[in-house]
Formats: sequence, structure tokens, C-alpha cells
Amino acid sequence: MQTDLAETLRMFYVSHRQELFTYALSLTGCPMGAEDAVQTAFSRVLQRGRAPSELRPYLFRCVRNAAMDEGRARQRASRNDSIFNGVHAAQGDSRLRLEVEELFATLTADEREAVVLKVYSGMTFEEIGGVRGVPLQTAASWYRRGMSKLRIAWTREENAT
Amino acid sequence: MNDDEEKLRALPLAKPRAELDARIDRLLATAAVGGAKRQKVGLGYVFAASAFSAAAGAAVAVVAMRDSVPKPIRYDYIERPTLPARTDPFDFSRSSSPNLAVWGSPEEVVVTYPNRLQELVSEQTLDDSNI
Repeated sequence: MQTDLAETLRMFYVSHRQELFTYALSLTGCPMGAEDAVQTAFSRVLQRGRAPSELRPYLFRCVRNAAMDEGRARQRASRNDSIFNGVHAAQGDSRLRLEVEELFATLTADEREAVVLKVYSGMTFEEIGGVRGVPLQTAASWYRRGMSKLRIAWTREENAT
Repeated sequence: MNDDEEKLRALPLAKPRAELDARIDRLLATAAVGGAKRQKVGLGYVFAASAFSAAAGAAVAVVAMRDSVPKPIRYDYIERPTLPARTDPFDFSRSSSPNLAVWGSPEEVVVTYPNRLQELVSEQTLDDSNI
């Protein structure tokens, strides 16, 4: 039974590794904390002893809870790393990336979370609402507000070129 | 997917380190091994329980069989250690039990009930050879 669960989780991790990490990083603002949160989430599912009926939203919820705990433990304010890759900062699209990064930082936590879950995890508003425990409409409005703020970056980019 | 989403997706994301893969791998491997061990232990319990049940069942059966066999009646334990050698079967005065007649050598104690002894006496002439 536990062997089956471990195998299910392994397959899930392989196919959703980046999504889970990006989501955790958007919550913790710290790569180490994000990794810890992902590991804690898997550990919690294992402790449960059996796979939940819907693994994906359940694991994302676990990541969120673990990230919140991590954030509290590490005093998140002390560090706020971007979800975007720093290596590419010195390359071509660095200006846009920095602008998006800045705008990302201005989003509220709910808006940022909704955008990350929708864009990088491909979740529907219903699924986002399930992860956050809010109605679909609330998740949709967080996302729209967040995207409208980020749109400023594209506008500036287009005006510059 | 709208254009805004596509633009966001085009930006490279920070990647998790290989260490996270190793950590998750270790966690899942430990869980799988732990699960297999627990399954083995579980099976062990089942086998042990079965064996115990079988042993207990066998023990109960043996006791039942033993109890169903009539125990041999042993008379000599009644008074044998203190019995003096007697030869007179009608002398009840020295018997520790008024309802029993006891005679014979300590090695061959004979116990019977007085009534039955009286019947024997009335039925036949009692001499030493009858005793």
C-alpha cells in the first residue's frame, strides 16, 4: 500500500516538480524554504498513508500550508527571492524580467498566488478556489486584478520598442 | 491561454536544485522500504497469529481428548502411607474411615465398601484364599 503511494507520489513529483517549486517559492520568497515546503508536503501525504482522491489540489494545499509554516519560521520579510531565474537576468530579456519581477512584488499575496497557480500550474479558477478554500469567483477576481497590474509591464515594453 | 499568460510563461523560472530531487527521492524510497517492511511485519503477525491459533487449538484438542479418557482410579493413595498390615477383613475398628474396610499388606491395599463385603460373606464361605 505504502509502496504504491510512494510510486504515485514519485510520478507526480517528476511531472509537477517545477510547478510545485514555483508555487512554493512564490509563497516563501526563499528557494531553500520552497524546497523544504515541497518536501514537507510530500512527507505529509506519506504520513496520511493513502493517496487522496484528488492528489493535485491536495498536494498544492499541502505545499501552501508547509510554505506558510516555513514563511513564519524563517521570517519571510528577511528575504524575497523572485520566482524567475536570476541566471537570465544579464541576458536579452532581463529588462522585461526585472520589470515583471518588480510588478510581481507589488501584487497582493492572493493576486500573486492566483497568477502563479493559473499561469505556471495551469489550474482552473475552480481548482485555485479549491486550493485556497475560496469561491471560484474570488479566485478569478484575484487573477484578473493581478494580471491587469502585470499588463503595465508589457505596455511599457511595447512603448519602449 | 491569453497573450499575457504567454508572455509570463516565456520568462524563465527559477529551477529547483538537484538536491530537492535527491531529498524527495530519499523520502519516497524510505517510505516504500518502510511500507514493504511493515507489510512483511504484518504478514509475520498473520503467520504468527495463525500458528498461535493452530497451537492453541491443538492444545485445547489434546486437553479435551485427555479429559475424555477416564482417569484410572487409584485407591492406594487414600490411606496407604499409614496403614498397618492387617489380615482381618471384618475388623473395622482400626479403619480410619467407618465406611471402608481396608486390609492387605501396604503393597497391596484393598479397599471396598462394608456392605459389599457383607454380601460377599453371605454368598460364600470366606477364608484366607478369598481375600
